[in-house]
Amino acid sequence: MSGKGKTDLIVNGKRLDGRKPEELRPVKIQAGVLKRADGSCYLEWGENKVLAAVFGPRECLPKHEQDPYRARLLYRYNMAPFSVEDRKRPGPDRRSQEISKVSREALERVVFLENFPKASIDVFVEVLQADAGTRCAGLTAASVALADAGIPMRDIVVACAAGKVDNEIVLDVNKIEDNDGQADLPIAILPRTGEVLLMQLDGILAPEEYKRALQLAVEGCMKVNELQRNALREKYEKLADAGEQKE
Amino acid sequence: MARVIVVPGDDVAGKPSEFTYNDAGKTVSSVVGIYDEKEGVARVIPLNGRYDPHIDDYVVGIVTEPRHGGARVDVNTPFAAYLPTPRSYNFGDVITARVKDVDEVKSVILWEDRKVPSSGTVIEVSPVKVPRVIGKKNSMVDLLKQLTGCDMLVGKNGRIWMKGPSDAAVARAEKAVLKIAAEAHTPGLTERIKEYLSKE
Repeated sequence: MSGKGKTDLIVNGKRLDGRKPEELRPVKIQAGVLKRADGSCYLEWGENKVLAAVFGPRECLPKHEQDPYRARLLYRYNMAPFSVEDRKRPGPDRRSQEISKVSREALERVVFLENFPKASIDVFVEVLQADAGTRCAGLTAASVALADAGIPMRDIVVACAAGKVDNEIVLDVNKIEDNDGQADLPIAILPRTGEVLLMQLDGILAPEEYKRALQLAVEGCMKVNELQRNALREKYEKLADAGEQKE
Repeated sequence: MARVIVVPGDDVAGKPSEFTYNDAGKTVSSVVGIYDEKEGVARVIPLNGRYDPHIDDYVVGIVTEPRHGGARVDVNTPFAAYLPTPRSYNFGDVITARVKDVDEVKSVILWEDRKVPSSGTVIEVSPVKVPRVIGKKNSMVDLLKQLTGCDMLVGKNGRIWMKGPSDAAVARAEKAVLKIAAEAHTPGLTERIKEYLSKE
């Protein structure tokens, strides 16, 4: 976390990948990419590549997990063995279980679970390629997939991280900055109200630094949220255009 | 007609109704849908979603568990519906029925059951597209029946049973139905389907 003895991560106000401190990596979102899922989303966030699939509301199994008052939300974050530099041992581990838990709790706040008693809404997030910030990318993709599945929700959840690199607060840290930087602060918010649904912090930030990092992350979230909304609208506007041209 | 596509979290005008909610005095859409306002009420028609059973819905179901004096029927909801009936059914029978009751945990009771010929085909579309497959005053179904020669039963749950004079006719009808489902939110659909079916 100290970053001592490493190469400089910020040179002449520019980061190693050429970004300014308050600049996001390029984000690409596509809704409705899987045929058999009720809703799906493919997302590229810099070098991160994430696929999200949503099924349901469907029968909740095992039966003892059924709740007569609301649906159960299942969130499975999984990294492909080939998603990181060294092979990742397949299957759930401590890290992915934690990420699944915090992401699930973020989504439980937004989905109208009480509309689907005894049922289950299953969200699967597969990380195909990882480059720091996959929990944010996964949650961002999952909420687009949920909306694509037609599941009623309060708002579209969006997540983004800020961090501290070479004593400077930067938005959306990439892998080198995450490994050799000083802090990483991923957050997920409801863009309508600014309500924070997820916040984790790895490293140490002074109070002023934390405020600046939070502000940057919220600004990043708002930019990504615009892309999420466009991706959902685009899916249907394309179809509408195709229909009108034939007339 | 102005068609506005809304996504969850978008502000809409008018009083809250289905698929919208009230957030501190503002009406907000909760789904991806097409929005318009009618008599002061915000109306959002979702573009995707599972079947939400309502009383009096006409549905096409598949028997999953025959019992004495009734049957469990899969009607595309998370849980199988129950049909109390004196008729005896076999596993896999296709039936049509009407929803008699939906309780607070969305358990469905059916009645007015009728068995349909098992030689037909059942296809599935998204339940939100069903109103377009039926059309205004059945216009779309009548058109499909007339131009393909198939017999059709369209359930509110997104299941469509059809039977035709030949496999080719059924395939043609199926293609047309899937086209309707894919373009359900676009205007002038009936005319386009008419053209599509007379061309082929």
